[in-house]
Amino acid sequence: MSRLVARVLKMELWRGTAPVAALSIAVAGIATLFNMSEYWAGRWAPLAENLRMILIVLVPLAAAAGAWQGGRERRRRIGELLGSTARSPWQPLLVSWTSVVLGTFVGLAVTWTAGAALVAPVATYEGRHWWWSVVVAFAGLAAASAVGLAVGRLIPNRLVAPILGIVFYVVGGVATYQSGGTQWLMPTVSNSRDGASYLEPQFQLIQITWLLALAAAALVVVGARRRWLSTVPLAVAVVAAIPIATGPGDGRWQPDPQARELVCADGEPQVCLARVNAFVLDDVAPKVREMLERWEGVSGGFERAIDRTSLSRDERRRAMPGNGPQGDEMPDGEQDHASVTEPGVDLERTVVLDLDNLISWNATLARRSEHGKTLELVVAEAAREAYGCEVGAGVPEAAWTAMSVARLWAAGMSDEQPGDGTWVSQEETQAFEHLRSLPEAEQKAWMGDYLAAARDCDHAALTELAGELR
Amino acid sequence: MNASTMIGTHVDVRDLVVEFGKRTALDGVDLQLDTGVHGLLGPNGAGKTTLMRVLATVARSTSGSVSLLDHDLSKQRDLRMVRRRLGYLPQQFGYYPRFTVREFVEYFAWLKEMTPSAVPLAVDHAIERVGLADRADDRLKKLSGGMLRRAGIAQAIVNDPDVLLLDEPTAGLDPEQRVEFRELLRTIGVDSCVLVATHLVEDVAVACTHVTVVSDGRAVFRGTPDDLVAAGEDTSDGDSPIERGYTAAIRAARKR
Ligand SMILES: Nc1ncnc2c1ncn2[C@@H]1O[C@H](COP(=O)(O)OP(=O)(O)OP(=O)(O)O)[C@@H](O)[C@H]1O
Ligand SMILES: [Mg+2]
Repeated sequence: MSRLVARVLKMELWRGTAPVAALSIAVAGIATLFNMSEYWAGRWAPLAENLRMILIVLVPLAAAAGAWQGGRERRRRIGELLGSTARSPWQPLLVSWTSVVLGTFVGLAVTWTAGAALVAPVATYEGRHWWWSVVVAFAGLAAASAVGLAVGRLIPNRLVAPILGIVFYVVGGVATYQSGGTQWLMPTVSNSRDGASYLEPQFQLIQITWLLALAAAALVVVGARRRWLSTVPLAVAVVAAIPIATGPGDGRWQPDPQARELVCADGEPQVCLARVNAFVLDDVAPKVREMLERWEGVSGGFERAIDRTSLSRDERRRAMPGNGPQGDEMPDGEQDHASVTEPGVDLERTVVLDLDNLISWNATLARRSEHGKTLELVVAEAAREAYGCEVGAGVPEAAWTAMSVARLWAAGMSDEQPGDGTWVSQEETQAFEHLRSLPEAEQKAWMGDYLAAARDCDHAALTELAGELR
Repeated sequence: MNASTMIGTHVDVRDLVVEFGKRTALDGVDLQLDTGVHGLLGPNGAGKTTLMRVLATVARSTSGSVSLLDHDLSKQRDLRMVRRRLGYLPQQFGYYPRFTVREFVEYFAWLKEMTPSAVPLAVDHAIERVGLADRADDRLKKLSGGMLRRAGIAQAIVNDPDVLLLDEPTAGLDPEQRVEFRELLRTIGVDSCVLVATHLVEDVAVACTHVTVVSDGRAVFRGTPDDLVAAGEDTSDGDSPIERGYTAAIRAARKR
């Protein structure tokens, strides 16, 4: 690139849409990314996944910026003057697009860097292939701005930019509801995988090819004198799109065994988190141990806690029979992964730790999530999840009461409401008060009986246990 | 590279016809121009801008032949050569308001495919020639109407064009600037072909070596400013000799 071209690019960068694009993408990106920091703080791969999720807002911004830049020649009525110059029109077009792309890239880079600043100091797992995901995000912005530029050139209206932004937002939204492979045609991903899964680099390369070929086709259509030349990049785009669209949807996610490897705190009882979440282990372990102490002397009581992220589908089902397959369904086509627990481990007596939402923006354990969840409630949930029957219409009222009382006991609640959106009825509170008024040995005996009945799905016994507390 | 390399005819238009649907804007114009400053006069709607646009390679002729610098404009391959040697200031001058004067002129130097190493000096020189040196780093949107026009002239002359087409360049210039502008035209006209469309007959009288009057799409008078003055000796309509000549030329054409 000659110095003259560099200077021209610099002019476009400062005088065109690029600064606005950079600023709006950085502001919108940081606002949306940090609004859901609990899903990625401290973790590289989830940061990348969430960067792809917020593209639902950033891609429309890039498209609108491109369209605004593309309409500039017409808005400024400068076409006449440009038409009398020697340089082929594709060159100023390319410089113009490059400036917008660089603007959007700066915005995205700032967003990612802000997130990375919170991840780098604490991350306990380097992640797998996640940076390909970041590259796809950049390619997505490049494609959006190119398509925007072309549309802005072709349609003579100032409203093109905002309308195109809305169209991209709607298309992106629809794409995230697709279960099949077509969702991958948009750079946006529909949900975060908590860093326990990854996308194959080969697949992401195909996505990058698709996006960049689309960008090239859009630019050639408006930039080249021979428009038919755009069929070449268009053909490449179609060839890349076919395996994407016809391939699996959520099944593209591959389980990452390293991310799911158990990292256990020193000492007993056992408290283990997935490697990807291990940065909060020091926060989590003492609290969980304190809660596990309550179960000492309860027959069949819980004696260890393991991160939900690590467990295979089968392990989860055994540990939380009550949650059943309906509550823990694997999305279509997604592969299960290997068990992480030793064959001898009694999963029935294992608390499943679901740390979702419980990690705060600074990568420490949150006292209470925005939905009111606390670590205490998460651990106590195990008491209710011991219930081994299909949860549905046939569950007698008394069984609900017993489950609720057991959970309150496990959480060490006094008479306040849990505050996590579950509501404790008057009757349940009274039953719980009754249990607490008993001597400790009797409390533990009742809990032991409850666990046995719940695991056996013995409704008669549960009804009787609830009756004892009336 | 600044020296004119041209020996033959700069502008050679033969039987040029331009139609917009049913309306005929140019109706068989013949025009041969060499170095010097050529004035283009004519009433509103006469076809001056249309002729300029054809010469600037942005409008297509319906029939007839147009060649610039010995290149036939109908040949795509020759266009690029011609455009490198062209300067053009449209009547409706569009610009990017956020660019500074220097950036705008430099941007066009790039578009005209000038030798990159020659650009910085040429840009400074062009800006100086239109008297905007002290405003070179101001954004275009901060300039007055006349200054903007001068920035437009600067981009037109940055490549030392062999053919310079200026469509009403003096509109909005203050008297002092107009005097300097005429001086600039004379300098450029020494080795280039300058075609100036204008309604300011006085400008033509002072700055031009040749005059063409168009009316209803036809060239109705061609000659020197003195010839035009002579043509008006019999009429009394007009405040100056050259205005009288202009009026006479238009009237004579309408009678035909
Ligand atoms: N793009 C166009 N479409 C249709 N008609 C046009 C177009 N451009 C010019 N014309 C017509 O061609 C004729 C010549 O117009 P032109 O602009 O060349 O006149 P002019 O001599 O430059 O006038 P003025 O002194 O007002 O600038 C006019 O009748 C005009 O209406
Ligand atoms: Mg005109």
